Amino acid sequence: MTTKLKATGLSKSFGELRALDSVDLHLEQGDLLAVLGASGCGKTTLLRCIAGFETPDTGRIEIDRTVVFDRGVNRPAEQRKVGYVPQGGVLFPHLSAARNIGFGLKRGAATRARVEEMLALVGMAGLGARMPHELSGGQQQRVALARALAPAPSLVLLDEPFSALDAGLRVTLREEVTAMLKSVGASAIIVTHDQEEALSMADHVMVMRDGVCVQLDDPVSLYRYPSDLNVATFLGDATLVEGSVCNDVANCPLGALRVADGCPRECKRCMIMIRPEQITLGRSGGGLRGRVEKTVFYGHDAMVHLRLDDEFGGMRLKARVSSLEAWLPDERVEIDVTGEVMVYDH
Amino acid sequence: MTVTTTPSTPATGRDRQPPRRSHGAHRHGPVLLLLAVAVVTVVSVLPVLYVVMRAWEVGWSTAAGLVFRPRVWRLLVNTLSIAATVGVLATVVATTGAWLVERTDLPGRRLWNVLLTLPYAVPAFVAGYSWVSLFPKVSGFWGAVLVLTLSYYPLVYLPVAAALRNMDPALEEVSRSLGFGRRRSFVQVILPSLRPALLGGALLVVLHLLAEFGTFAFLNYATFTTAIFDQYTVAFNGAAAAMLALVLLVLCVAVLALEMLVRGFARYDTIRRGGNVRAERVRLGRAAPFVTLGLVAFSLVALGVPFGSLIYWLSIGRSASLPVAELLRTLTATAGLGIGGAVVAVFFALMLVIYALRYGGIGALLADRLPYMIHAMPGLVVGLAFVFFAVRFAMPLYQSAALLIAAYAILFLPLAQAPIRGVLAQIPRDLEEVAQSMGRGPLAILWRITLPLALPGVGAGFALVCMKVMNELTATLVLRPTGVETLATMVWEHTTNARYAASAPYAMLLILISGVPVYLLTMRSAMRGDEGAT
Repeated sequence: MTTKLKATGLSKSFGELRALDSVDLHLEQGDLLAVLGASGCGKTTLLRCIAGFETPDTGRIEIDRTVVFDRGVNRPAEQRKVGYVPQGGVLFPHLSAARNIGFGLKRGAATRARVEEMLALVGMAGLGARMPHELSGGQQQRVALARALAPAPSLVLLDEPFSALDAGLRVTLREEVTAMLKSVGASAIIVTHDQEEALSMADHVMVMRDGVCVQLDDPVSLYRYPSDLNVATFLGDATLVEGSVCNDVANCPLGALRVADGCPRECKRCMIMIRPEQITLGRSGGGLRGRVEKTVFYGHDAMVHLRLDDEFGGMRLKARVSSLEAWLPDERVEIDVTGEVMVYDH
Repeated sequence: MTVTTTPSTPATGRDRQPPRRSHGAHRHGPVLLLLAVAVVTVVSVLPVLYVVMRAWEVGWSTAAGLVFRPRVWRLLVNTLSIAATVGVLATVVATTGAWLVERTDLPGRRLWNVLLTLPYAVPAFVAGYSWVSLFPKVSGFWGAVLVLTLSYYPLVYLPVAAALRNMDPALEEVSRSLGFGRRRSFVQVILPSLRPALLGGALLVVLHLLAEFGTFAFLNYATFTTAIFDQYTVAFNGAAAAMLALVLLVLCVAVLALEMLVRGFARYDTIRRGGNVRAERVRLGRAAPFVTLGLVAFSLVALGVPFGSLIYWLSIGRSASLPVAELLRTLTATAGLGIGGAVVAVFFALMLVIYALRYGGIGALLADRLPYMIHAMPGLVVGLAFVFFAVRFAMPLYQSAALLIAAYAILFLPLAQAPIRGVLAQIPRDLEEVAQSMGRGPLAILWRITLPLALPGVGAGFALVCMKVMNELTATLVLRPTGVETLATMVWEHTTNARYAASAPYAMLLILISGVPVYLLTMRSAMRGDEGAT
C-alpha cells in the first residue's frame, strides 16, 4: 500500500471560530475515507483545504508524496490534480453533459473516447448531448462524478454529494458511486453528515467534532467501539445504563456484562453503552423479564421499546428486531444482552 | 427478507411547477380584471396605430419616401453606433467593477458597491447637463459616449453583481480542480454563466439609449429621438415625425425581441444550493492600491462631475436669490404627477398580474407580456401618439393632467408589475384555496389574503414608478398642460437656454428624489450579500 494523502496538524480559523484544530489525516491508495460530523464541525473546511480552495493557517498536506501545502508552499487548486464533486453536483450550466465531462481533458482525439467511456461508467451512455437542466438530480450527480473522474485524478473529493437527493435515490447512488470509485481504483474522501452513508460506503470513517478529529477507524470498529459517548450516540441508537466496572465485567441492573477491549478496567462507577442490536428478545429463557411498550416498524426492521420489570430496575430499553417478528404492546418478553458492551467514564 | 429500493422520481429541484389554472366558473376572470387587460391592450397599441394612421393619411408613397431617405439613414447610423458603443463600454466597465466588488479582497467593498451604483440615481439628462455646463467641449459622439456610459453602466452592474454574488462558488472550484487557473476559469466558466445578466443588462442599456433624449440634445448629437422632437416642434406632429417614430419603434421591437431571446435561453440559474461556503476572494495583493486608485479616479469622473457641477452652480447662483416659491410649486406639481402616475400604474399592474397568474389563455399571456413591449417604446413616441389621438378624438383631454398621468402609468407599468409579480408568485395557490374551502368569495379572498400579502411588492412598485415619473422628460414635454412645469422640464428649459445656475436647484432636487430609492436598493442587496456569507 502506498500513501495517497497525508495531512498533519491542519488548523484553520475563521475569526473566533476554530474550524480545524490540528487535524491529522492519512489515506492509502484506493481507499475511501468518509469524514463524518454534524454541520459546522469543520469537515467541509478540511475538504476545501485539501482541494486548495481554502488556505489553512498551519499544517502540511502531501498528495502522492508531493508537498502541496506547507510553510511557504501553497500549490493552487488547479495544480493539485484533485477531482472535486461539490454539493448538488453543480454542472456547468452552459455546457452539455458530454462537454461537462470533457471539460478537464486536453483537446484531442482521445477526448471523445474518454468522454464516452466515462458516460458508460456512470450509466449514462447516449445522454451526452443533454443540457444540465434536462437531467434529473441523480443524473446530474452522475455527470458530476464522471467529470471529476475523467482526467484520472489521483484523489477524488466529494462534498455531501447526495444530500440534495431523495432517500431512495440516495441509497442506490451510494452503492453505485462506491462501485464506480472502486472500479477505477480511485482514492476518495467523502464528506457527509449522514452516519449511514459514512458507514455503508467507506473503508475508514473519521468522526469530526468542533474542528477536531475525534476518532478514525473502520466502520465496524467505529460502530462497535466508539471512543466516547458522543460518538456512540451520534453513530446510531444506543441505550445508556449507569453501573460500575471492575476488570472486564460491568455490573448494572441488566446483570454482569462483558466489557470490550480498550475500555477502562479499574473498578469505578461508569456509563455502559448497549446497541439495540445487542438486545435479543424471546418468549422464554431470557435472563431478564419485561413488557413491550410499543413497536416502531421501519420495514426492513423494527424497534421494540421495552420496560423491564421492577425487580430488574424498571428501566426502559430499545431492541432492534427483524420486522418478520411481531411484538405487540403489553406482551411479556424475556430479554438477553449479547456481546461485549462499551464502558465510559461517568 | 430482502428489501429492494427503487429510485423514486428524481427531484431536480429546478423544474418549477406550472401555475395551476382554475377550470371552474372563473376561467376568464372577473370583469374588472378583463377590463384592465383590455384597456392596457388598447392603449399599448396606440403608438403603432398612430404611425399607421399617419402614413395612411399622407399616402403610402409619401410615407415610404419619408422613411427611405438619406437623413433617416444618417440618423440610423448615428443611433446604432452610439447604442452599440455605449452598450459594449458599459458592459466592460460594469463587469470589471462587479468582479472587483464581489470576487476580490478589495478594501471597502461595501462603500464601493454603493458608489458604483450611485450614478444610477442621477438621471442621464441631469448628468448631461452637468457635463455640458462645466466642459462645453464635451459634445458630439464621444462626448455622448462618455456621459451615457457613466450614466447607464449601473444597468449592467446591478444584475452582474447580483449574478456573481449568487453564483455557486463550486462552479469555479470545479474548474480549478480540473486544472484551470483563475483566469481561464473566469473565461470558461464564470463569464458564460454571467451571459444572461450581461446580455440582458447590455440590451437594457441599448433600449435606454434608443429612448434617450435630453443628453443627446444637450450634447448636440442627433439621434432619432432628437430628430423626432425637432420635427414635432417645427411642424406640429407632422408625418415626418411619425415616420421617424416608425423606424425607432422597429428598432426598439428588434432589441426587445433580442432581449426576450436572451431571457429565454437564460435557463441556467446557478443559484447556490444550500452550501454555506463562501468562495475565497482573489487577493489583489500589491495591486490593491492601484486598483483603489483607479476606482477613485473613476468615481471622481462618474460622480464627482455631476455633483461637483451642481455644487459649483448652486454656489454661483447663491448671489441671485433662490426662487423658493417657484421651486416649491414645481416640486408639488412633480410630486402630484408622480403619485398620480404611480397609483394608476400600481392598480393596473395588480390587475394584470393577478390575471396572468390565476387565469390562462391569450389574455394571461397578453397581460404578462404587453407592458414589457410598452416599456421598450420611447416616452417621446408614446407621448406623440397620445397627442395625436387626443387632438383627433378627445380634444378636452389634450394637455390635461389626466392624459399625462395615463401616459406615465402606461410607460412605467412594468416597473410596478415586476415587484408585484415577484411577491404574488410566491403566494401559494393553496392559501387561497384554503380560504375558499372556508367559504370565502373571490373578492373577500383578494381583499383579505392576496392584497395584504402583496403589499411589499405594491409598495416597491409604487416607489419605483413614482421616482421614474418624477424624472420623466420627453413625454412630459409634449403632453404637459400649459403652464405646468416639473423639475425635469425646468432643468431642460434652463439648460437649453444655457442658464446653468438656474438649472442647478431643480437638478439637485431631482437627484435627491431619485437617490433615496437607489440607496435603499443597494443597501438591501449589500445586506443580502452578508446574509449569504453567514
